[in-house]
Amino acid sequence: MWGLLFAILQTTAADVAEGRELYRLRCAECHGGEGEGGRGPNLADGVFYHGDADSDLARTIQNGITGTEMPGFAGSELRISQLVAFIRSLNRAARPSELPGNPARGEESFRASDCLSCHRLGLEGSFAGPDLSSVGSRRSLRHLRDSLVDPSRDVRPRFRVASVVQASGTRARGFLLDEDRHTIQILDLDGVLRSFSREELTNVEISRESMMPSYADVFDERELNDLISFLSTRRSGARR
Amino acid sequence: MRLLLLLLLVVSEASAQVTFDRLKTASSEPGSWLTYSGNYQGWRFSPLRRLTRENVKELRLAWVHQMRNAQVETTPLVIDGVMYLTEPPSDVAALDPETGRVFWRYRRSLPTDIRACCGRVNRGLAMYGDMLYLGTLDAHLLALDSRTGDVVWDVEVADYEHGYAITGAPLSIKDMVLTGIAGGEYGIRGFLDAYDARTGERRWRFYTIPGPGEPGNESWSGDSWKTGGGPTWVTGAYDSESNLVVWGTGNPAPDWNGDARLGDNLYSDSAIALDADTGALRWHFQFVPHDVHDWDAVQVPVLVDDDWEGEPRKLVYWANRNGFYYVLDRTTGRFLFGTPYVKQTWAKGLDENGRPIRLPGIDPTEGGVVVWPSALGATNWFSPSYNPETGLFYVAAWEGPGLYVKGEDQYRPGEPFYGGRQVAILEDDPGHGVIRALDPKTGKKVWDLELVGKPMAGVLSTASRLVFAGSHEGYFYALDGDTGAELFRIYLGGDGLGGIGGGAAMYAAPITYEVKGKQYVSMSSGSALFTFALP
Repeated sequence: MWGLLFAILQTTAADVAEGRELYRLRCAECHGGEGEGGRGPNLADGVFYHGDADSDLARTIQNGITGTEMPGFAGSELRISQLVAFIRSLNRAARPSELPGNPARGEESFRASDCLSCHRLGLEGSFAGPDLSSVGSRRSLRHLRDSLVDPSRDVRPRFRVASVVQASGTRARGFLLDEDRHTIQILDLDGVLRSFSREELTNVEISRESMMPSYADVFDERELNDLISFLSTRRSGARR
Repeated sequence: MRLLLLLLLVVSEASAQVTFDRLKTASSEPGSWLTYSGNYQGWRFSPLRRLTRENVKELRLAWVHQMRNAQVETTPLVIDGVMYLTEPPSDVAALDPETGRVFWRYRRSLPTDIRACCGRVNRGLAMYGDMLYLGTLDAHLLALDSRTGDVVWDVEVADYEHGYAITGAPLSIKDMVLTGIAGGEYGIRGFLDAYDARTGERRWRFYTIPGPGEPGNESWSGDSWKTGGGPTWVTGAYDSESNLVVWGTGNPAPDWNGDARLGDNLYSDSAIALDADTGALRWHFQFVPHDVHDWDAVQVPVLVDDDWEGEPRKLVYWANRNGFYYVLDRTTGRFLFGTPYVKQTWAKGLDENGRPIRLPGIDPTEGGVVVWPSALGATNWFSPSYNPETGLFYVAAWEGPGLYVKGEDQYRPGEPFYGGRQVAILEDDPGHGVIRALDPKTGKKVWDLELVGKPMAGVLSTASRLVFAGSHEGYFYALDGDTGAELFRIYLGGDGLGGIGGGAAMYAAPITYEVKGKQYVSMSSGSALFTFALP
């Protein structure tokens, strides 16, 4: 293990690029192209359930996780260190000098544009969109931009929308939380968690279109850069 | 900025709202389970009557919720059609109470060097408004959005590296959330905290060990108050009429060597009663002054208004880890009555103020001394149940001796601070467990369900005179509340998983709830939650 840890310490930008390629081949199918999660957990939010030290990540990659679909990866120490380096790069927040715009102006747009009617930001906001309180810790600038101009390009499963019709004719619509052969679970637009038996439903439709409109025609380039910069400065951390 | 598109999505805020009024009158919505103990009075009693002594034998498994880890001590909440529960070590799930299907999960990334003397456990949540409150093993208090599991706020309550941890369920009162703290085996200075439910700002802190200049500090010799323990690791009770929080405190530290902390060691091993708005102490009653046996008084206080010697009175019922059952006056904290409810060999009795009259030769020695009950107690953290229909008090208890060994200990921040060791189950004289019904006015035994092993699970009772309880061996029982007769039994297994009970399967307490006219009962064993209902 010491050799491996040493290898991780020594990683370069080239190793991160190698790690990215390896990740694309071996990990992305479950963990998402940018580590956003899917069948497997999110790897970009800085939360690692099986330990968050480099050695923990390496061990998890090497051994897999018993009782889950996560297999072990029988690669060399170098290859594993490259993967760890790439996973780390996913949750490396942008430095202030890398911000493309003015965060303070971005915050003004954010508040003026009613983003809080769907998104949470700390104590403010609502439940319908992804929580943006620490989005800067887990999303790259590029991902933030894509999310604003083309929200439907990458809709996490949790934000797909299900519309169901009950035998009585009653309709319900909400975010699809889970489904199986017999049941379907949604968070409806009133914020109520609901589970339906498929036997009581006459129709189920699931949309992969984001409920968020594109802001490509709403903001000009400077405003977009400001907004992205503001969001990138939203970082995690407990209050003491 | 150019013209803004109107959002397509209009969301409303019609979702679950837990108000203080709902919490105060929990018995008026018997289908829900709103707080750790089911009501503020600490009864773990359900007014539901669909399950009866006649039909309970027909109970069948409705669903199972599997978790990643064993030693599940959680009490789920069931509110407005959703069950919320914690999973060990410090995780949360929201699920459908009819099918067990999961809506969302919150998983906490914990540091690898957590201090938890007795298991990486969590006993549950509190809810207020649309937020859930979770205490974590790294001693943080979190507010989660009950609809999504998103973290709304996260505050550090204390430094886990110094042995502080949160294992108990918070309690929401008015617009505050109260949390206790664990760490009596690490020489913490215990406290009870209240936080603004909306923002996480701390409203007040009551230190269970008074500082210099405060009354009670003189009950600690030297600087021993600084590392004196007195944790608050199990959820207390609340009297809304008097705005009074009643909470139990744990052992003084170090556990089995009191030489460096001469004095009564206030307010360890005590019931403390605080003004809910300010955290000011209204009264205290110390069960074990200068404890050297680790007899935490962290049992759930049971608050009952009843006649006492012919007069209506506000009372506290308390079956203590030290082997005595107590009745206290809730207005003044005055001792009214106390008697042993299991075999005990350490006190001749209690004096007129409830202070134990100790027998000689009971303190731990280097060679070890045998005393009844053991260090794990006559009972412990697992909940008792008070039933106003049967008028009885139900408690899972242990009849057995333990060995107490005195040792040296030097306080080092974040390291175990025991001052000795203990053996809770002696090979030659292991004792046994019971589910015991007491007459709460006299402390006298009404009936026993005798068990081989020592139970570590809490007890639930219902208005239809049913008692639900679990055993060390892995059995879940429904009993006749009047006689203790077994009406239903199922083996849930889960043994051999370690923990301080030496492999006990059940560490949680049952709850019951109702959805769409159907009554359910939930109990954890091993690493899963089992939910039963009639077909």
